[in-house]
Amino acid sequence: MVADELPPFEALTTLVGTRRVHPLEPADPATIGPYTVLCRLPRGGQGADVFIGRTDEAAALVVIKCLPADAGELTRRRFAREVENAARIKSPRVARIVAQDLEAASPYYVQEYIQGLPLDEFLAQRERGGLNAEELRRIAIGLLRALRDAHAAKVVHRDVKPGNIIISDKGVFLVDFGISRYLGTEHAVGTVTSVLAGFGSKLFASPEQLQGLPLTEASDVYSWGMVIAYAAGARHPVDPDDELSPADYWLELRAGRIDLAPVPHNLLDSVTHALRFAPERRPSLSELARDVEQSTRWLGQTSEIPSPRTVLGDFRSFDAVFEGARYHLSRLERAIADTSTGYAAAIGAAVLLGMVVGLALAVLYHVVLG
Amino acid sequence: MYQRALAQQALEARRHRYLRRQRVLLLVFALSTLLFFVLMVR
Repeated sequence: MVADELPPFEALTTLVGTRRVHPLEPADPATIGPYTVLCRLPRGGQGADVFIGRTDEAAALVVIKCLPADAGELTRRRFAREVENAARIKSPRVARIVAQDLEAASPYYVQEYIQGLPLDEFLAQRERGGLNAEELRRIAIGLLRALRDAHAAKVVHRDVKPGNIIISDKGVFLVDFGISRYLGTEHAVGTVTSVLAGFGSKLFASPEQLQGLPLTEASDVYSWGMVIAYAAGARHPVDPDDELSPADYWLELRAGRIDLAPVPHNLLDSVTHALRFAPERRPSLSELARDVEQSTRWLGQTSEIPSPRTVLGDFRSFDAVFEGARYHLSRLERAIADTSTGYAAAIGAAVLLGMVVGLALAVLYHVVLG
Repeated sequence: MYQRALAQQALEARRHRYLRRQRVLLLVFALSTLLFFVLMVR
């Protein structure tokens, strides 16, 4: 096992403190409970306002998530469940809840502020896309540990996406349990949240989540695979421009059209297994953690050397060859079925192949009978 | 559920189209093989 505390991210710390925040809007409160509000963060799920604040000049910053006073009963119940779920998780990789007041006119809860950048902003600040193998390893392992801690408390996050992953100098943190679900015995009220929380979330949702089926830990495993594939190339592996409808996107997942080319080959097997369509075929978090740690063990030191995929490297693993062949075959199938150019090219190829085989047969015929 | 049904339907339609086109491709292949064989042998 790799030591639990990872050394600080050297390359990552330089960007700490440049996180995107918004100024307060005129209608925003100046204080919430004992906290003075400083600025806004992007709005969370359920229409909650998210602020950064602190009690006094010397105190540490906190994140305050606050529901508007006119929020409905269902939203309030979901909000309360979010607090309950987040409070269940005892982990150094999940932001702690330090205070809450769910009875107030505008219910709020207060989390510690993680000094760092969300993964999507971090990738956007990179000049050339993607992370190097060492950074990717740290994020992969850190996120697995955060998910492991959440699952140990029987909470499924259900919204693992780059915006909810904070990279700080202390490691990787998972935030926003807005649509999380408790898997243990739960009160009968307000358990249904199969809706996808806002724009872009579909891109990291598992196929069963897109279908509205019941979710298990395997769903978070899928999102993990998608996040790592995205971080490797700084480009979404299925729908880079977010232009597909959820139904079309689901079809792409079903056909296995996931572009894993930027994923370094030491992570390729783990990502491929995590991205299996059927939830029961995906590995558990502990299997995944073991695989990732074993396959990236050689990367002990911080390294700026990217690990490029080579054709030879891809052939080292049967699974990777199989998945690669499946990916290309399904692309071919789509090209033939959906586009007239692809169909015309396929007809041309069939004629050419026919000519070659006809010629070979004729030669054989002459050799045998001539 | 409605979206799931739509997606399933689109998938089946594509599959059907692909199989139809695949049959045409096989036919083209067989015909051109035969044609060339006959041309070369004569």
